[in-house]
Amino acid sequence: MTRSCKTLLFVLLLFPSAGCTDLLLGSKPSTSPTAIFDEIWHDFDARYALFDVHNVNWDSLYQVYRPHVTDQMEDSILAKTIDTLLRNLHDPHVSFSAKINDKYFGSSYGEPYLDSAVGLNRPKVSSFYLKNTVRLAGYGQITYGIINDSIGYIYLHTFNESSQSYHWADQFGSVLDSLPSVKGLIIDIRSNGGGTQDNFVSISSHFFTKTQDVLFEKVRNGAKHDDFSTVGVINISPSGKIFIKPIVLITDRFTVSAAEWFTLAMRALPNVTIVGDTTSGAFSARLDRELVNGWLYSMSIEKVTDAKGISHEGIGVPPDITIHLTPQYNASYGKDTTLDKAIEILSK
Amino acid sequence: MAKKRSPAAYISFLLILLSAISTKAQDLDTILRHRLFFDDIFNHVDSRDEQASPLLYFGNGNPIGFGYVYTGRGYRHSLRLSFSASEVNANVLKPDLQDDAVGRKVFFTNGFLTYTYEHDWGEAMEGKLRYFLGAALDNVAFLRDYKYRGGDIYSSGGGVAWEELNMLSAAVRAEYNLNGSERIYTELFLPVISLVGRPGYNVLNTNSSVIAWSNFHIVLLGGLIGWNYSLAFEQKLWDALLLSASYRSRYYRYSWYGWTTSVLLQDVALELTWRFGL
Repeated sequence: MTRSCKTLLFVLLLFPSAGCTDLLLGSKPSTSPTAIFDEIWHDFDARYALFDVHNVNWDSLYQVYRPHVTDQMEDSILAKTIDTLLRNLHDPHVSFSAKINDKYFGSSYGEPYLDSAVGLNRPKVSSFYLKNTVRLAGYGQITYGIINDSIGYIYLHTFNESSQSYHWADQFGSVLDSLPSVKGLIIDIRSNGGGTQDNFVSISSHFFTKTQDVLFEKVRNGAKHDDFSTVGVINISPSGKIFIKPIVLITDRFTVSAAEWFTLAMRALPNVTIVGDTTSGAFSARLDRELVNGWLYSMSIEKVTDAKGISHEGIGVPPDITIHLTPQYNASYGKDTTLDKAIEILSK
Repeated sequence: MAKKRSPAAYISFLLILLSAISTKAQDLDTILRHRLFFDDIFNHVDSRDEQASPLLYFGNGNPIGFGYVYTGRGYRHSLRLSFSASEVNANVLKPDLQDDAVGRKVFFTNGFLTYTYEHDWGEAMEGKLRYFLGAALDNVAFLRDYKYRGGDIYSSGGGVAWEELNMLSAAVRAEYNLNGSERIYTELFLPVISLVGRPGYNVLNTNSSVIAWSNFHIVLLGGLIGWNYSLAFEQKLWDALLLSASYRSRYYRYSWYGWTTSVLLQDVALELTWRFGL
């Protein structure tokens, strides 16, 4: 047996890699408070897309908060420090959650005025307006009915997806089919927290008679804060049952993300009037992330504009007719003044 | 009315047929040129993809593999394919995390396609030990859907990472014949040049494009560190039928925008091979 042959056989037989996992895959990164803080700060620094939109100097925030972080600090104090850091972004797509001593700590970081806004009372809409015409579709994601025998009403709970409601938006066409004789349609997306692009496109496609560009997006794609991909176009093509009669779209401060994409798309149509309150102002795709100690967070990773190139990020989409729900709305069985306005418009 | 035959009768018939086909075969080696094989694999996956998560994710599976080998005078071609998918023939990957209250997981699918050409390099020990040199085109496709907040495959949220590796590797193989019907062989591929596909700067989410050519780049030796190694014991059951037990280790590691992805897959497999043709 030659020497080279022996060497070859020796190398091959000793090659198995079991037991070398740490060496091959890297040992677990540090979970010290300083390492955790640096990890989340660097991840935002590397991926977050909206520093300029929210007018945030991320390097300065590091200088402010990092000195307060020590490896001796408790997890709860570290979580509070990270919470305070992220609060500076004022971005509803930025969130943070941590489990500390079997208790959950979590926040999302929308504008403060969301805290004082009044959300939709859906049972009230069903009881006082839809009455016995109320129906559910799309595995419960769509509530619909007829108001005053002539106006169709559709409430979209979400644009999101789950195993219990997989492809729920496919049923939207049959909902329109069940409202054949209405003279107008109210689409209510108040308190709609957004969801997937697929559902946004699927539902929008029932209102467009020709293919139309509705949004532009560009994704953060480099280490510098102004590194972005080329602009991608999102367009809507007509599909299935098309509704071309007058539409009133109702929005509020809790209309977020994909629901705001829907608002921008519908705003481009001549038969649509938007009533209610300005939307939340969170248009970017949201990227979920996790830290090495298991804490979770999310961030915005792209910039989105409407078809005219105008960004509504951090601002929201204003309605054509502004109606604020008052705090008395939820406390009493008073009228839904926003819905009343929509009915008035379609009753003319 | 036709008499119903038992499964055992069919198997006996098949074995007799295989035996008859291979009556001219005298040796474990090269007389029968064609081999079709099927692998029943028990598999363990370890994956750390820093672009998607700082955590190590791992899981077990039962992939299916099969392939074909053509053995000529002093050379051999082989084609090997295996694949697995979570919820089908593998478990979802779980994080290396002591207390995971949200039930985070990674749904995945992966596939491996390897073509190998090897040529006689030499022999020793009166021909009992033979070794070969050659090249392999080793392809990996691995898609991972990270659900950081739990949920199922249909849940919104999370991030999707994938890699598509096409590696041209140097291949070396050694075979040791214990006797006429038992053999040990081992094989090692080391990538020399690779075409690496990987999602763009951020891992995918529902609002990003899926595949773009800009996501592929050429990586030379050292840019992608990896191997595909196997060690097997082969037993002749009949001239036409071989049974092997093998250990296979596949590893690769590369960096993308400063984030490193490393994957280690370890298989233990039982392989049934049918040899035919002179």
